[in-house]
Amino acid sequence: MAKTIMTADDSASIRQLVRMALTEAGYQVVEAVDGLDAFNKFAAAPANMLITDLNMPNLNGIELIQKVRGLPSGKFIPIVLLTTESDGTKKEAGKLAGASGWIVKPFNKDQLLAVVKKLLG
Amino acid sequence: MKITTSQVDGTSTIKITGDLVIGGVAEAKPEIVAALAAGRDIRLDLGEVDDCDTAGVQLLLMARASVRGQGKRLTTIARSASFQAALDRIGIPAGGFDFQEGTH
Amino acid sequence: MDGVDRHLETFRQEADELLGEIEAVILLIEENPDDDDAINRLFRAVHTLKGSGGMFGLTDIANFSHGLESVLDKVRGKQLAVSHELIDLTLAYRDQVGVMLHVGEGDVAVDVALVEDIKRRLKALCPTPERIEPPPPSQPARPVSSDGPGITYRIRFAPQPVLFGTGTDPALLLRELRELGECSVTAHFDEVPALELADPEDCHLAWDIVLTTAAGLDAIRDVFVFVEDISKIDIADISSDIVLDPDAPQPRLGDILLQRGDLATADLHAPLSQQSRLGELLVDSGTLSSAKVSSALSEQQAVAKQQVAAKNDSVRVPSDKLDALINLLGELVTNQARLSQIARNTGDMVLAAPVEEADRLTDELRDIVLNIRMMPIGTTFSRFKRLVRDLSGELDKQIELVTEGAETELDKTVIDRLGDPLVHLIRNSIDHGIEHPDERTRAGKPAKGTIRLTAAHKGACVVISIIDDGWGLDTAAILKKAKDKGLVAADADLSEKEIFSLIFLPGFSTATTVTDVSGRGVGMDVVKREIDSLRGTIDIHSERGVGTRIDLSLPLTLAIIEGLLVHVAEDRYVIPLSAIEECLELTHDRFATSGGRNVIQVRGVPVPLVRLRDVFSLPDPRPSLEQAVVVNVGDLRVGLAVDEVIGNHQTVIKSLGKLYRKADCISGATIMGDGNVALILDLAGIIRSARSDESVVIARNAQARRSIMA
Repeated sequence: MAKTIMTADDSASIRQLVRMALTEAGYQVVEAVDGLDAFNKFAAAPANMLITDLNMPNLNGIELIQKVRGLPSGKFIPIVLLTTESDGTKKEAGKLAGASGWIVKPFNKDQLLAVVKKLLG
Repeated sequence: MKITTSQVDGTSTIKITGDLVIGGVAEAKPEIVAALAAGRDIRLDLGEVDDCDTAGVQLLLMARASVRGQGKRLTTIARSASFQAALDRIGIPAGGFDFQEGTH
Repeated sequence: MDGVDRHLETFRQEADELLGEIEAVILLIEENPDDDDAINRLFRAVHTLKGSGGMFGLTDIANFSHGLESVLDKVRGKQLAVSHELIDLTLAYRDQVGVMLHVGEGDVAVDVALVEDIKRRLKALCPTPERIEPPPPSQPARPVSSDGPGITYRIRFAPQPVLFGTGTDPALLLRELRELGECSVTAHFDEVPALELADPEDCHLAWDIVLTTAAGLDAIRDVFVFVEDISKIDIADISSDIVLDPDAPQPRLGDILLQRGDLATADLHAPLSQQSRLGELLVDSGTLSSAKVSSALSEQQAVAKQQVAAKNDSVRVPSDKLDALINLLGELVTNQARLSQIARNTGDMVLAAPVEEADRLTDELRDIVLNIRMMPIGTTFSRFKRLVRDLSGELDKQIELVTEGAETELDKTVIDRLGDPLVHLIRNSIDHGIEHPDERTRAGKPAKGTIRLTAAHKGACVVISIIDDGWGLDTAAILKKAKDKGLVAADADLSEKEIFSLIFLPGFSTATTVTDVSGRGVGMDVVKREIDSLRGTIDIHSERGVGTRIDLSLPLTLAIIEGLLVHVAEDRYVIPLSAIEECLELTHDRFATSGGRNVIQVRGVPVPLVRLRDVFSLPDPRPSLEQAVVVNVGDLRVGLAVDEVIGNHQTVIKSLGKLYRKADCISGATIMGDGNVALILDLAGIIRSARSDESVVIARNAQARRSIMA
């Protein structure tokens, strides 16, 4: 059964890029437009992995990670934080909140898949 | 992860069915600890293990450590391909898992 | 529309929306500078433009947005107040990004000067200079695949218990390591705590990995990039010592365990006092877990493999590069000789020391460069085993090939060109030399014949011998055949050596029937020609019924020659030193004639005399006292009359152009320190031309000499 990955991003273009890359690689993708949308969707139907943007309305990436880690279904899943180069300290915050790893924007499809493979298999 | 245990004449058999993964190990712990205590000869039936991650293998390694500490005997009576593949991935030699009393 | 275009289109729509958002929000902020929500929305919009702009290749938008984002981050963090300037700049930013988004659609163009001005003014808003972020460790780079055996690393990976809680399955990291190269993974599973005593959601495992990879240390570190803060990761290059010293003994298991700190010296010595295998002992005695031992064992194996690889560690270089190097070296040596001569002539003491040093360095360089071409001859030997096996089967003979001196080194060119002559000589031994088993038994020999193929250094030469214990050469039959074929005069009286050498004459074959084996259109004359062209000589010893021995003497290298420099008239010649027996003065009492030939007495033995002046048609007059160089080529001795012996000369050979290959008596040329050319004598050719007649050959030699000297 295909593994499900949730992409939480307020940028439609990034969601689209992530979705297309992952779908092509054989994963199932669920999109969420902001942190709250992501949490609600996750609580209702847990994904095998979460890829979340840092800056989002209605729960930013770090708050989302903390809340997802609090769910039994989210306790051990890989969670990746999308950051930019200027978010250096945010990476630490993300790790503290429970992120498994990070991807720095701009990233390409191969870099995204490498991280997904590293964490989800 | 579904755990079925049975005891016959000092032999305690633990059968694990389905995914043997991190999400289920906490819940599985008390059942397995109880089953280990219930016999001298512990048999693991892993023939129906599906997905198996490092934490899942570690759960059984910890069970193995308990048995060894108590001077009992532990054998796997069946191993699914995915369980064996997980042992390989994690770097545990094929013969490294089972042991008998006095051969640790 | 392909993927990229589609993403770009989506981004444009999104960016247009974001620009609308920016415009609306900035007006809210102008009204109420304390509207945190509005400020956050503005920040996010700019942040998204930056991040996504970069993602879809619109780097100008990403760069431009970065400046504003930095300012807005400070506003968000209450480090900077909203100002009119900021509002103005944000609106100007918004307009210019709108232009950037739609460049190429119609006649919009970016006002570069304005953009730069806005960037500068935004920068001025920041009270402190912006910290330049170091390049982020970023996402793992894919390993660069590369050839070569790579480096062997020992990796110890001991994660903290929290590892599973970060959503990381270490099995996936191990898989990544395996993808980097040859990898052996050992889990320290004997140390996990009993289930009732510990939390199975914590990670209690640690790993030893021995990885041989060409991907490099960074690629390995990249595997652990997300877990390095919650793990102990030690990566040690365990192959560096080995590669430097491929002959070092393989590390012992005990040493590996000690080095890893798994074992104290005392623990090691206790079991060693018993006679058994260390690994088993340590496990049995409970000193170490089997995992630790087996991990050390896999390291031992990886090291052993690496050693093998290091032994084969070589660089392939196209031979034309090597040739170019040797040519250049030749010129350097020549020039150095010239320089030394000048230094000597001027007698300048200041010059003497550095020139002498340069001399020494040039010599060293020459030796090293020439040595590059040296290869053990064993590579050629090995192919003959098969040849002997196949051919002896075909001919119903029992033959064993014994090789000796396979490690003897020779110039690669010589080795390459030696292959065919050797094949022919060995075929000849199999075919004509070794008898059938029953014949051998009747002769009181072992049924199985032996061919020995040996190589050994002898002075400046390598002598390769093909020795069989077969029939031996039948001198009477050879002579009769040569006479029948008109190869020698019917009344010729030849020595045994001379008769043996007849088999190298074109068109000669001793076998009455041409067999499949040696009758392949390659006569022994071809062997002779090839060896001659290698400046080698062939020497035959044979005893009827006992066997035949053929010695090939070959120069170590074709690129350099040790010679004796002589001069005749105005010309200079180099005589290969390896062939020279002695030099003497041609006093009158030495001369004699024999059958119309010039002969000199050397230690009471008559030796034919050849005048180089005659060979190359050089002008008289001869000096009143000539000198003679007695050379020995394949046991034929000849005295070469020259005007003067100048002295020893080592030289790098310039090969002659194709045009001069036919020159029988010249094998090459060399340029002297003073810039003049000296010709290297082909002694075999000179002897041939001295024995044959004559005028045609001499005319050709003179022609060749003139062409080269010109």
